[in-house]
Amino acid sequence: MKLTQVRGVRGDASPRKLQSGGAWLALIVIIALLGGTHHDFFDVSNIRNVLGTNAELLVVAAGMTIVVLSGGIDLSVGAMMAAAQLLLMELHGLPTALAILIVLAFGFAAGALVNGVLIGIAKLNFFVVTLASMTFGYGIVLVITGGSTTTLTSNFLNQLGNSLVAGIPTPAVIFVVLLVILVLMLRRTTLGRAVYSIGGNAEASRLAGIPIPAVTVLVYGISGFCGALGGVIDASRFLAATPTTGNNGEIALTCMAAVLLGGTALKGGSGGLAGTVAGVLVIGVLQNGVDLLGLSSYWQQAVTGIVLVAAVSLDRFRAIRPFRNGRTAASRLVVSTHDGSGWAAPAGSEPAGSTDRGGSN
Amino acid sequence: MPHAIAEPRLAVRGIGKRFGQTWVLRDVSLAVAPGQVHAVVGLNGSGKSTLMRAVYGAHQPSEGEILLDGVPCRFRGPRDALAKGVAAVPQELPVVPELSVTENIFLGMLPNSGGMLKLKHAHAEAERVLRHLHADAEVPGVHESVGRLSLAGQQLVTVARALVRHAGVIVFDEPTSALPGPAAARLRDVIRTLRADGEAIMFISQRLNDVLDLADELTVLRDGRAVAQGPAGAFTSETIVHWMVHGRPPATALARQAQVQVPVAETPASPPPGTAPVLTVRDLSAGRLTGISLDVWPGELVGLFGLPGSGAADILRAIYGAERATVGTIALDGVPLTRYSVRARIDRGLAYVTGDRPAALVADLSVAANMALPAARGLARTIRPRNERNQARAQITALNIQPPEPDVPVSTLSGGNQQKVILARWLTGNPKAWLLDDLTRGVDAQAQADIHEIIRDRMRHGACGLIYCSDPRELHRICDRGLLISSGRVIREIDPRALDADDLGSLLEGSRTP
Repeated sequence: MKLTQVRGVRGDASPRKLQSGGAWLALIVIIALLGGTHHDFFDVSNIRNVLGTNAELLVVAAGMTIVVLSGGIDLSVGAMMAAAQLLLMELHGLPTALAILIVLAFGFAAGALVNGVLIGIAKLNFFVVTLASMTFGYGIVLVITGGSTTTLTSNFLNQLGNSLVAGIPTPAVIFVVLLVILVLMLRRTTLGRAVYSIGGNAEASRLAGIPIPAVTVLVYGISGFCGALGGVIDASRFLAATPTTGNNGEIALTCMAAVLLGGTALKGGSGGLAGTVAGVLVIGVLQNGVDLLGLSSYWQQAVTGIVLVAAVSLDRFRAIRPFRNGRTAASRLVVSTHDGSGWAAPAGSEPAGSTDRGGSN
Repeated sequence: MPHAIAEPRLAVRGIGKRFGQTWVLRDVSLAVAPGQVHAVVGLNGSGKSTLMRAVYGAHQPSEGEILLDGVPCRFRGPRDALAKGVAAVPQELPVVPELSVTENIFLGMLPNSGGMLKLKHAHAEAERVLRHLHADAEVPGVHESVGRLSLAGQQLVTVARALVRHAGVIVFDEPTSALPGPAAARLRDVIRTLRADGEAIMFISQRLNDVLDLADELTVLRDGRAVAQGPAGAFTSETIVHWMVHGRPPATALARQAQVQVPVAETPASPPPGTAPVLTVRDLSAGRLTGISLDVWPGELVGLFGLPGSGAADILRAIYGAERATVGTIALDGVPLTRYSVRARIDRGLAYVTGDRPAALVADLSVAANMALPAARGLARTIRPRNERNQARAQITALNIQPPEPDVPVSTLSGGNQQKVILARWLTGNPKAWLLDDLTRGVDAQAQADIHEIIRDRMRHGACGLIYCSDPRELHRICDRGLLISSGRVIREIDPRALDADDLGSLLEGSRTP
């Protein structure tokens, strides 16, 4: 334990440029290994397969990235996907394009009005709120569908999920359009700046007049929109509305793995979408490699865990840059554990108020 | 025994520190004997903090060596340095607010036998050390949690930690800069006690009076090098400033006049008759504030004189909307602000500059983005990176911010330069009323003078301001009018220029118990 603040190093590039390096490097290494060991890997159909199957994860993880940048987490993205598919099924009487627009609007509204309002305005904890809305969402979908999958028949939907645009799977093209919009939002609008700013230092943002509740509502709205879009893409690829879409909520954790792999800080404020794209592709390519090599898909999970730690460690060693004058207010302890000696606090003593530090309950 | 011939306890030989290609400290040597206070002074960015950090193990020096009692030492970190006898009292105090005084004093080494804590023994030892420091007023009990102590109390707890570990060298980094007058005087007494105990003390400070008062030996740093070194008696505050700024001694009387002069406000601007106040506060109550009423007229800077905890800074935060007012009205040019958010108050013309840099800057964002932070309050505007960068460059030039790079993360700047970034935020607009909350905390004399000049300039152009400083002498220099604040109330109006700094100190002290 060091009892002083770690100092930033002068003259480095901006952290955003550095922090996704680990994920891209990991991606290149994995691609090189797979390309070298399996001749089908660079096959056009295999690459299309990787892009197509991961489009929905990319879309949902993009929304998650924005939530994480703002300092939160949205565990309810999987439930949003399932709810979107249910709504799409219920709207089968309408023209499919119109139905999809309604579903996307629903995703934004539900994310903003449920998660956003409870977290941003009622100031409830994001973890609790989105865990609850995930559970609630899946519950309601299961109640309505009785747990059964419904086939969707729509030529438009089929085109959306299973066609190519200029040789690229349509879902991947949809993702690229979304990516461009979200990157512009993050980098070229004051809303994007506010997202980074409230994740980086909520107090400083508040004192600069940034309306944190409004930003939070919008951020969870965007995540809801991305969840709904992910649900639509999933429905279009399989032409079905599945009540357990998003692996019963596990997709939120996969997204978090991709976001962190991509170098976005868990506490918010630094990182970005470029890293998340690499993060999702690492996970997707690993899955593909495991399939190609004929291994059990459990291996993909195990390897992803290792790659996650490796990529995040790489970024950490390249870009340690906390606040020069101490990250926190003067009265707070600035602890870092680089020297590996660990925390030597007086365990067993009974300090007043020490329990709310550990968060053990 | 200031100049007793004694073997140096701490010797620094040819020490240097490089970050990337830049040497921020080069070839500095000094020695501190037991019972001696060695002061290190210099402007922001002169390398004095880097030197201190190398001595207490927070930095690994890139060259040179550190000797303790003649033996070369390498410190793996502050903890290692402490184990070897070098303790630090840094600016950002390393205390755990939730733990008790005793637990903080013995942090990481509570007395125990086989893992079972011997708390009674620890409390007794903590009490003994605190009594030796005469800390009863600041630290009322060893069971108190440290977060409830004043800054001065937390500092004394850090000093006590050094004593229970029998550190022979204690390094103070700006110990008095954040303390109110009486507490700073108390801390000087504590340092004298430590000197009498035979501790070797290193001390850096922007307050030259403290330096001249305490130091036996003095080193002046400029651009990372020691430009002057010698017995403190050989220096005056004028020669020190000259060394700090120019790196050479004052040659002539003419040169002496060219030194940094803190501009003194011109004629006392009594409220011009017939004009309306810009800012009006009536019967404001918020948190510990009760019944605050005040008026600020165009062109005047009103000082809030009060000790930390008196509520002086809270008045600024309440007017800005950072803390919600429960009762009362705030009006700017006749428009009531009380129900407005911070965002709407900024729109109406309020600006808030705080010296609490960690609460004002977003460390990961660039200098340019931090300057443009209030612009992000309207969420639907586009950002043009080139415009933003050019605007930032203009401010960087105007305020002489170092390094002059709009794209580096703001966390890589020194404290004084970070402070200028916070100020620069509000200079692109034209705020009507400035709320200045200790805006030069920990900033060197030159930067302080620059910042004061900018504020005075805005006042000359019709803005008005309310200012609070932890150092009443600063208010003494800059204000037109003063209000004495105590226990969350405005006690009375005072004329800051009719009093000298000592009067102000005693006035503030006396106002605590009305």
